Amino acid sequence: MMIWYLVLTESIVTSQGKIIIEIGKEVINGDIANYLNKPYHYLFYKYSSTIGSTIANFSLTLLITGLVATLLVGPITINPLNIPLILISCLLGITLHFSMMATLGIFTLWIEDSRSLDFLYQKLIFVAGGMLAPLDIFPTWFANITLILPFSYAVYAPAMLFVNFNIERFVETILIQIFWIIITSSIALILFKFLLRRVSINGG
Amino acid sequence: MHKNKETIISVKNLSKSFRLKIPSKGLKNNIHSFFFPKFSSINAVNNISFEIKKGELVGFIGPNGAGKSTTLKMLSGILFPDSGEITVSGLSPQKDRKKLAYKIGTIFGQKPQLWFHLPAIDTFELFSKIYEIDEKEYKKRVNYLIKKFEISDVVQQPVRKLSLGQRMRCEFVLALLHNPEVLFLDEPTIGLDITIKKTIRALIKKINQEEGVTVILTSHDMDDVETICNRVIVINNGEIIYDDTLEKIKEHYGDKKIIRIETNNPIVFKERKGIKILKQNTHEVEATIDTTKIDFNKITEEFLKKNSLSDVTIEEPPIEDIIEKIYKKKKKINKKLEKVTQ
Repeated sequence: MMIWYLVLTESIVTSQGKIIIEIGKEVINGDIANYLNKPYHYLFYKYSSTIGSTIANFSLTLLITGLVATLLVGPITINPLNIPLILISCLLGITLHFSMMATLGIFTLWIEDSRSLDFLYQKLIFVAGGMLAPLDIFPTWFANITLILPFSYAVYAPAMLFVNFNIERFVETILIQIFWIIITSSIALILFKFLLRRVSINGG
Repeated sequence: MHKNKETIISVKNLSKSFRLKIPSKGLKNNIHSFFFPKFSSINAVNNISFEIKKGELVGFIGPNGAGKSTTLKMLSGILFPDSGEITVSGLSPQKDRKKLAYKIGTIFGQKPQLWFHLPAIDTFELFSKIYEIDEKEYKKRVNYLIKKFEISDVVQQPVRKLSLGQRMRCEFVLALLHNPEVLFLDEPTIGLDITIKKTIRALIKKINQEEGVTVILTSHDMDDVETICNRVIVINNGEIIYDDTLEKIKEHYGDKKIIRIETNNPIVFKERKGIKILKQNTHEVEATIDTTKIDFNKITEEFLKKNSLSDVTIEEPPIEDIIEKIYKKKKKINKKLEKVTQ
């Protein structure tokens, strides 16, 4: 089960790219100017433009790592009827992952350095998000803390549905995922509105 | 200037300064400055006001860091001013950024908008969706612009494979797709060769004449401004130091004429007050004549009495020289003002 758990966590995290670094680059080199004079919101545009490639990357990673996992430990037992529900939770996890990265990316309008923020976030998603190992292997007090944070609902929660599905857990997971998406995207939108005043386009 | 036309851009007392973080040395100071950063301030735009009428072709000129691009970016809603009011097409660029986006087109010569790995036609298609252009309208418009900018051979190729000139023409098509009322061009001919520059300039003028698009252009190339614009705003250190038609600039500051004369006889022409000889040989002379110090008609009459003319050309001084003169004059005024206030 551990291998199949990692198949899904790796697929969610690696499929999305480094949004914090991307936003940081656009802020620093001034390319953000080309997005700010268009009839859309920069963050929604960013989400729309990354979600397409993320879904393609996710499917491909899932397929390849799934094949390797099948060869190594045999196929996963899964009810085909649950697959669409698991995919809904994966999509929400990917959206939450984006939303958290976008929130930190916007901070580059203030601190002008995205690498340190990306480094910190990656470590949080590896450990508190459950990308490297299920949270259940950590001491109870640590697992309990991570379970009230949003990181685990981007990665750990959908992966647990994948390896051990039950409908109560599904309903609880997607409700908490939606809750965290609303919170983190609201923070991102509010921050963007305030920090937009700090945009200074470099290089002409 | 277009006195009877309606105002499309209005700027009142616009100011913008940029904060620069003062770097600190050592780990302790760095940690302290992360939480309590110290900033220095640079005035990029300093209390400028102007109006632009519909259909005008206005050139913003000035040295690097003068505040041209910052002004343009505030007009297009990208940057927020510290103070002052801006209205573009009846909208506030900062409050109505999305609404304004449908009415303006932008080209930043140093920041391409085309997707690098996609054919230009795909970016056109994407922009037609972003700007919610009706499918039929889009096809009509894109075909018209492709023909006009002569890019039918290249629109299917990935942008990375195009020459800079081809890419810039594609950028123009992209910026004009949604029929903008105002076109902001920030150094649109940067890096282009002279032939492409000429083509681009002619196309900008044509689009302005045919579609009535108001064009605001910044450029370091004075030929751009001279060929395209009918009004010039000279900006330096964030302040407008001149705002009028090109003709009037030349009238006010172009008091030196360059004259080249060829004669059939050995030339009789001497340097004196108001006349400076640049080149001279037996049958040819090139000189500058300062019309504030000497009567131009009188000097030609005198010359014709003593010489048999074979060819003559009279040129206005290059616009670069005139702009330099404006900067120098402004500096002198500022120095005098400083002395008076001290």
